[in-house]
Amino acid sequence: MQIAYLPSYEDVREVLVSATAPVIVVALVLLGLLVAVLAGARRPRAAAWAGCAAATAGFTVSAVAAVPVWLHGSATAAGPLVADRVTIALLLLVCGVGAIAQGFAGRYLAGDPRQTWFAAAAGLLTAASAVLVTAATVVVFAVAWTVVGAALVLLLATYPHLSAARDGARRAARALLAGDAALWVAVASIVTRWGDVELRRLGAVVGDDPLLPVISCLVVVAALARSAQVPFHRWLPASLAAPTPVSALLHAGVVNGGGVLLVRLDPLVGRSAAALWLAVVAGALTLVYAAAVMLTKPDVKGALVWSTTAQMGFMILTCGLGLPAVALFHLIGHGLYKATLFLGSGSAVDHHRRRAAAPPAQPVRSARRAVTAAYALLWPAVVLATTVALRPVTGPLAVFAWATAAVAIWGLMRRSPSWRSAVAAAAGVTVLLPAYILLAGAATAAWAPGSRHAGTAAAAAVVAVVVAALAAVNAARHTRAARTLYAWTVSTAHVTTRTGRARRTRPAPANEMPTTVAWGVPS
Amino acid sequence: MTDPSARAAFRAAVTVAGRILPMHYPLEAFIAVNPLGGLEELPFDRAIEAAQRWYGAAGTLPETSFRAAYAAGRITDDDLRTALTAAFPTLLDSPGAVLGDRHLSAFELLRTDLLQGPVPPPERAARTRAEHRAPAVADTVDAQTGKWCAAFTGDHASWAMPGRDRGFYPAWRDLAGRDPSLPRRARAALRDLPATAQEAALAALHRLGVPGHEQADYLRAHLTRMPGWAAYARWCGERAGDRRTGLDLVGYLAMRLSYEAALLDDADCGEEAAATPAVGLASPRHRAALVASALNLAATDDQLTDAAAVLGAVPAVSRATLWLAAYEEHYRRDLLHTLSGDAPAPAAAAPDAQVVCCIDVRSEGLRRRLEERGRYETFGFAGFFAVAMRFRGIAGGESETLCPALVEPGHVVAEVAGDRPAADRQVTGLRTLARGDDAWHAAKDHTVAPFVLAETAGWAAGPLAAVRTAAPTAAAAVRRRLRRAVAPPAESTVDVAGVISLPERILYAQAALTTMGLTRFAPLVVLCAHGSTSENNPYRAALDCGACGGHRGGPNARALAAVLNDPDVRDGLAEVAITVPPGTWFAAAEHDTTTDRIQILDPHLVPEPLRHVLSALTADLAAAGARLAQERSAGLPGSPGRADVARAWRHSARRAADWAQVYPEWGLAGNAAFVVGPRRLTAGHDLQRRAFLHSYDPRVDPDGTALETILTAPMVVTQWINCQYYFSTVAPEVFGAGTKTVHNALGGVGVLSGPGGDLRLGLPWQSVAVGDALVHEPMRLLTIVEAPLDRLDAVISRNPVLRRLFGNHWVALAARTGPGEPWLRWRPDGWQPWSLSASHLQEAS
Repeated sequence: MQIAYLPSYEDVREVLVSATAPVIVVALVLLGLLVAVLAGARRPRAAAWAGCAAATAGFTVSAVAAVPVWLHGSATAAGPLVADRVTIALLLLVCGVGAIAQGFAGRYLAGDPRQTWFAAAAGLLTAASAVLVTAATVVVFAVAWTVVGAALVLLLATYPHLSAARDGARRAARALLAGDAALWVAVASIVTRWGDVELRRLGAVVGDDPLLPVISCLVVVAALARSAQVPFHRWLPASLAAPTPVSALLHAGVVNGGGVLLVRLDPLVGRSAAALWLAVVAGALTLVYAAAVMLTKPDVKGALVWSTTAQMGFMILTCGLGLPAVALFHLIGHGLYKATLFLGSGSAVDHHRRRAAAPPAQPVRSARRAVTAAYALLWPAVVLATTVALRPVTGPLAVFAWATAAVAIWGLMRRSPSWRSAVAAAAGVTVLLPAYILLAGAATAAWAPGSRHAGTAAAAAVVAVVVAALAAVNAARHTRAARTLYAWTVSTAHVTTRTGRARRTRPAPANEMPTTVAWGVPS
Repeated sequence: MTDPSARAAFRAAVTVAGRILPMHYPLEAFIAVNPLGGLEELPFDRAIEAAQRWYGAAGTLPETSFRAAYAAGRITDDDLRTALTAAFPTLLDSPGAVLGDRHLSAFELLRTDLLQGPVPPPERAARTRAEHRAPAVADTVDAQTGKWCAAFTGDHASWAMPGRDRGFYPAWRDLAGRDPSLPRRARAALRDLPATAQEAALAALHRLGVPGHEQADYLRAHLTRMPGWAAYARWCGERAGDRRTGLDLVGYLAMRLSYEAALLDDADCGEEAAATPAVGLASPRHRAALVASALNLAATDDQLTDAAAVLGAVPAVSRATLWLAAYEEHYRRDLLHTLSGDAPAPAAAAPDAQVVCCIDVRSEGLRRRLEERGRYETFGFAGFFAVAMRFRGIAGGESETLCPALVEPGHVVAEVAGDRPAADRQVTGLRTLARGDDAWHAAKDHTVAPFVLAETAGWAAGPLAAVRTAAPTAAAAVRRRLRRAVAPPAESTVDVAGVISLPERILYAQAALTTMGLTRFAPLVVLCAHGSTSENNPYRAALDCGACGGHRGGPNARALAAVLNDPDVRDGLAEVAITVPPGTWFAAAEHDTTTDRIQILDPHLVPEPLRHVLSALTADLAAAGARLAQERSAGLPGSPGRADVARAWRHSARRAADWAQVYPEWGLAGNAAFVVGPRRLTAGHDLQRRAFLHSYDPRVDPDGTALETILTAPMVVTQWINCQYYFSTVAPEVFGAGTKTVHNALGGVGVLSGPGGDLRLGLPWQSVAVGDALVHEPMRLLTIVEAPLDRLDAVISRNPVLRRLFGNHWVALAARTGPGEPWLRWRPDGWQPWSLSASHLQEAS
């Protein structure tokens, strides 16, 4: 028997599945932002706390809404925002990373005069990102896109007294402006032709318009600029003079914008072969170049930046290959991964110390090394082949999964190859590799049912070329002939701040110093 | 080819120029240094003037801060008067001057000038040619310096700089000409560089038109442009047989000078930029006019001339050091007053246990809190416990140097298994953990592998990051438990007897016991080392024991305990009249200064009859630690403030485990004094964890050997720490590491601020301040000694280092012969009474 005054499951589901959930999330984050701005001048800790609490609340609402959305699909009701399987997953990422980074910053920036600035800009960034990933129409999307960029520039300018920070903010602003210009031209063309189209109806309305390739290419250019792809790759490494949580937000969120754009506008971009090839070429070039630069970087954050650029290349490449769902799976996983690595980047020195104190590697004979290498190469291939034979879900990108498993086994065993480590490696790979293939397959199938499969020969050829180039870079570093390549890679990727040293000659404003000195002798 | 004399002159010039640089030790073993250590030959005020000229770095707090301190009562008129009298002995006796209708005493005039005079900002006066002619070229030289130094020294890149093993200059020379970011002509010039660094540097100096007699100054201008990398190059160059050698000042300068010469040839040089007009220091007359206007007095020309005559005796540049002296005087007078109070009655009964702590300022709190709790006697001694060693842990990895930078470790001491199978299991576990780490790094630092790694690992990393942020203590506990499950810690001992010969061990024991004056033994003597726990903190080593070279001191305590428990050593000690009762046991312990937990090390070794003493002591140490945690908690940002003990105790554990925490503890912030004497001198006084305490008993040291050791070794290290904190506070952008929040670690070498640039020196801002409010009060060290004055005089006169430190005002010295005597101030011309003036004493009481 049903009690009349309680809403039925269907009612609840209707609310959650409709556009309401994202609106609630955005409203919550904006509320946090409002509190941060109002309270921040006096109480920076309250501002930080409000930002974190708002993002956590947003995450909770998204998580609750995710269940019915995942089970029942998206709502039909129109609104500025939309909750479907793709957008709700991205919303979880945005709120999750926002909550972690802002919670972290609450302590990390304690006592920092710019804590409130960070809280406000991070709140703005989270709110705009939430709108961006759930936007229902092109204009809403584009507005959110631009606000995200602006919020990022504000975050990068957290320390305006550091010349490197000013330089970073300037470079980012220039690159993002170029991308925004491209996007707004594309959006203007779309709106003049078809009105403020809903993104999910885009495929149906565009037809075979003669301007389609141009619009699509502009969209790809916008994505390249946002995701720091060649030729817009130089702003990301310059962004490091901002506090670490800014990097976490940037690398887990903002740079993924290019991928989000291509995923959400896939119905449009996917129709233009020129645009797809543009994405493929730019993504592949960036991927190889950034992977090479990453290897040369001795500083922990520098290596992370170029790793991100390479990962973004991978994401754009998969979009170009017509695999938006794969790109989505990658961008979420990578976002969480990179946010964690950035936040934990201070442990590099400790880690260095711990590694030095670890049991030393034992010398290994070359025959044994060769056997280990062969084992590392072959075992994942066997597992992969078996998985594919049982469940044909995978495309040419599976070669990357194989490479990861092979390299990990090699790393696991090289310290001292033994039967125990061989068995442990075999067990790990045999469980993890199929699990990964099946989960990734299931997730991508859920996000893009019946999407085009990159099973074409062209896709396979592209992947083969990219992997060959990456392997060549990997091998080249061990040769003497690599000097020119090394000098070129190191030098082209180096960020030069033009304004000389920043000097802060006054450590403490006079009026604040004596009253707060903790050790002051009472007099 | 240049002639040999030019080469010799160049080498000499490099050495002279390099002296201005601090040493930058790698961050994995943070060693505090005086950034102006090379200028200790000069009086303090001249040294900071030199630092200002070369680096553009301030040498004291800005005058505005001192003025605010005056307004807040932190500096009083008495303090100013004392400082003025000390610097200008007869000045205050002068009649002063009349301004307008008011007569002002000399003191009133000077005080008004101190409070109102104009403050010029510090400016780097020394410039390179590029800085003069083409600032863009100077920037490029800096950028290239940062780029190649990082590439050469960074151990972490998986694609190491080609030719790195051949040394810095050859490797750089090979690559510089291939750098596409340079103009074609510059590249061509770099391709034709001579084969040796020295030839290249000389050729470049020639092309830049630097004459021989200006060389040292010119090189110094280059070295001080990016002091971090230069300091690291100096450290590398002055060590032999290290894996990072290959970089030295000659190679470093050769690179910078070659870039400068090649780029200046090519650059479109504008006019020789006129040297920026120095912000002139105001003339005495101008200062007199400012004084008059500050007091609203209409002064005539003659009156101003009179006043200027008084003011002119104090040069405007001396004002900051005068302020500093007054600022220090206030603290010192309070401290000496505290220490001249009646000594508490010495404990009649023998103590239940004795605890020997490090001289570190943080031990002061622990000792005070422990003594409150029972019949315990505490001592202070350098935390490496006189055992200078390299130590290799049970895993058998690389050894760590556990001694002060002044000392060369003589022995490699290894940790050995107490129980073989258990130890094997631990080592196997550690190897498994290392393997996992290897696998992770192999995949992460590869070109093809990281993509799937990222998308898989991310799903696990995200929730983990959330837990670490929301519940750091729980996350750390889980990780610790996992680690212990994989590699369960096994009982072990430190093998000293196998490495160090018996006579040497007896010598170690004797030196340690007599230096700290420990000659009467309780049944249990605990040697308590210290270390610090913090997460995600590149500066963790700066919080560890400075006497152990920036490491945890546990192994040293274990080593000395092993030496002192050795029956053979005790027999040897008996021969030199130190009788250790057979029932006495030396146990080792480690104080975690972030959490204030004290852990007894090797408890399995403690003999059965002493177990109850140990458990009572353990309980009291825990209680004392909790009180100390509560006391410290009040000053830490984001702490519960003056919370109840249990809450503060939990909070301290949370800080240590929190990866978002930039202030895990205050470390040695606040340090200002070094007290050498028996505990009776300081017992019962709350010194606010600002004083290093070294135990000393003049009765067992008739010839002054122990005193000499204390003043020339621990005190020198203490002074380095003091100066490190001092200059990190007053010149945070040059001698400090700036804010931690933008730090970018470079392997174990150091940190950069943001994407690149100079290697950062010193301590981060978060070690000395919260936002704009200083936590560390930058004051020079005051050494307080209770010992016969003639003995002190003898020690000082035979040690140039002490004459330099005391005579040049880097360290002040106060002393008295024994209890009840007045405190005296050391001056080159003799001892003078330290006036603890009446008005001040009233105030303090």
